[in-house]
Amino acid sequence: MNKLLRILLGTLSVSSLTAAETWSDICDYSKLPLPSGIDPQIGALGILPNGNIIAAFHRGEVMVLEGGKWRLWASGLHEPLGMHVENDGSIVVVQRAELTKISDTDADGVADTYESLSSGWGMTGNYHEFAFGAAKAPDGTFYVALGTGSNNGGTRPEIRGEWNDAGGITHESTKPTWTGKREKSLPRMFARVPYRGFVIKINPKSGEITPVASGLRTPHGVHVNEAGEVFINDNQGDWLGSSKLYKIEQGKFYGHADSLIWMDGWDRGTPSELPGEELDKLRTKSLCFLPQGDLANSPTQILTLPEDGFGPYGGDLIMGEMNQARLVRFLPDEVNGQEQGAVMKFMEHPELGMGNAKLALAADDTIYVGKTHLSWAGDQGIVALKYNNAPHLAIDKIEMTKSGFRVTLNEAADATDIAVKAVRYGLHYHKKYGSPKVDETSISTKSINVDKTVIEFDFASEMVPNQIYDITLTGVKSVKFGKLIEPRFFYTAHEVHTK
Amino acid sequence: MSQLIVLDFSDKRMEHRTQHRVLAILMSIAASSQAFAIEEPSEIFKKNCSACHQLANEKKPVVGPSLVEINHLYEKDEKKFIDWCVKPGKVRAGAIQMPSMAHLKKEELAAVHGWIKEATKGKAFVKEVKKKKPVDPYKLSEKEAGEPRIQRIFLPFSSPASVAITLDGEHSLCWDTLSCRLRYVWKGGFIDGYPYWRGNGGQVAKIVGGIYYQAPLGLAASMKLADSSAKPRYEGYKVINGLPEFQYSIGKVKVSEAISNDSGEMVITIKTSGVVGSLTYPLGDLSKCDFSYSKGKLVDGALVLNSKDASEFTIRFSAKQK
Repeated sequence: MNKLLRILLGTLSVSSLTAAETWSDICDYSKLPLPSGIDPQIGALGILPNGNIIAAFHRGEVMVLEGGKWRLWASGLHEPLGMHVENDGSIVVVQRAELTKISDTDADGVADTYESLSSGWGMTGNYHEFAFGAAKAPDGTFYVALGTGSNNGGTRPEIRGEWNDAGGITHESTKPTWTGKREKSLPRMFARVPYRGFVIKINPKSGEITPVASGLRTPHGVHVNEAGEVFINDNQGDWLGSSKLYKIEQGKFYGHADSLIWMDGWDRGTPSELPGEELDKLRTKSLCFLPQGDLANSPTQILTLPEDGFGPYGGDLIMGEMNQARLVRFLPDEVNGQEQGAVMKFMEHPELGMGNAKLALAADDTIYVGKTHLSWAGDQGIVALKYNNAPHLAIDKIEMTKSGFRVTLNEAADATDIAVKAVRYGLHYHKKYGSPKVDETSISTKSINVDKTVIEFDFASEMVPNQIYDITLTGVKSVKFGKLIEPRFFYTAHEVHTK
Repeated sequence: MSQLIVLDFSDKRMEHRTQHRVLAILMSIAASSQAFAIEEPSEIFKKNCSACHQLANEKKPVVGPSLVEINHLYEKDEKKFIDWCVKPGKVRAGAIQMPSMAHLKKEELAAVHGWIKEATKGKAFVKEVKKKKPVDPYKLSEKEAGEPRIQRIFLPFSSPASVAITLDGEHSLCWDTLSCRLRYVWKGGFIDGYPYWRGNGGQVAKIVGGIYYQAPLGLAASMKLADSSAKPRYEGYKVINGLPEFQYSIGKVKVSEAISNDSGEMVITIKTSGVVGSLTYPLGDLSKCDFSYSKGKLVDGALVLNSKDASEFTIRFSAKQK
């Protein structure tokens, strides 16, 4: 949509003929230039206090985009996978082995100091032991989430941290190898050195590490909001029927098995050999699932959008996604004291593409998206999605009711022609990779009531707990804004309202 | 169900089975309102497979085999295709393993199998002749390669938290941030990081050149101190003329260790504060080295210094001329 049209939209009464009804109407896509001669996979992305973009690349270069040109600022990092930009222009980067503060102390325009804030977590040298972060909490600590190792690769002869041989799996018995040969003795994804499968908190002054929570597999998204609440997402695989979003609480276990071996007094061998029901009793539930294929396969960095920006989405929790050409938005709800909620597509711009690993928010409502693949599915480079504030019809809020859902829009809906397409299913919690949809059931709607901005619908059958409700609203439009931009949501109902 | 019916199966057995399946599905729909129409196979493919599989691997990066190759492998065996999708293994060295498609129904996978056949119609699979050695598209220029450089990456013969450093692209060393010490020195190049960088970190970087000095194995730290058995604590480094000055501490002893280049000779300047008694710096086999030191004495394969000399000393390495 061009600028003139947007001005008209802002000043004239808006008719549905000109309203924004697709993501490309409400966000403007552009591609940033790439530095020449370096691998343009983005590992970390930030905005400097002066507004310039700073990016860390796959091979460890850190570059600043100044007036359309990239300038090398720092280099030599080992797989940087997240950064926090400090107010003085220094950055805190998480690399495989370390949380590092990089500064330009002599102000000559190039970094000269690489201070290790912490290197206290374990590494077997396995390729899958990624370190994600670095999310700064309001109390000044940094949160880092540590991925598990994969038995698809080996462990190194020299490791960092004490090996845990729970279940009789010694470091020696894993026969360190780099041939790619599968080591059968290790669980599919393993946490054999300290804090793998954990999110940890680091005091940047003392370097002290506090393990916060366990049971994580490949926790790419690590986010702490202004209230100090910690959000993590984890990638589908063993013990994750689909990718999940968690709100993290101190001391809890979130379901991926092997990190249980670090529990005080653990004497039950290899956790993944235990029956799933046993582990199920130990775990804390997610906020929601991110349905594989239908919504997200590998969720990435999480952000809170600013309250005063992004139109109806201000204050929302969003995240990136590796394999699909979109971002994802979370809408919270609470039932019987259980925090749960819905997820839906966000900014599914037709040009976005895959590999949306890293997000950085600029002051003008632009989300910069850094892309990577690391030889998996993905892409490279940086793109910008600028929210242009075109008025459109969007879902503001989704609440589960006793017999259905209450969906609140940002504008009054036209009551005619609204229908609901609904399906529910469960997912397995097991050591196998992923899960089929279990007992997928279509649900018919008994009634639909529309009262201005609120659409409330009741199902003909009872609400069932531990289900994902896949709901599509059809025919929703408003006189002012036209068609609902995103009519499908996936609600994880751990709990349903008790009568 | 139309998406199943429109598929053009030239294989008669397949046609029969497909019709059979369509009938079975239609019957189950008649019997129950809980059966599901599946999506168009092209949509199922787009959502679940297209991130890694292309028609003919026309675009980089290539992740998985092309549809043309998949069709070549599975055209006549739908069951084998479905079994693979649900429980994939790893058969190709250097390739990543496919994640299981267990979240999809067998009917959906069967539809994708049929769709692949349709989509690749008339395209014959030609086995790609493998190039001898993959070439790094982002290899440093000759000028860049001759500059001092610090690179953290997985390196052989050291901990996973190590740093590769070169003085000039010719004379290089590995420094381990776990034991805070020099691990080995080599001459003749720097590293080839491409085995790591082209993938996801499953390979270590290759050392380019010949290692001529290796520090003793199994040491917890660079130095033994009379008053402390504490493990070293790595604190980071400052960059001076492109080379690092590492900072670490061992108990109460503060150490800085600067790497520099003196006409091609590798100079390591070690400064300490807080040493009480003596400092012992164990050395490895020096037979391939021209090794010198500024202070202290060589005793039983180690450099031994008193606390005064330990406050600042240098050691120098160069490869012995053959």
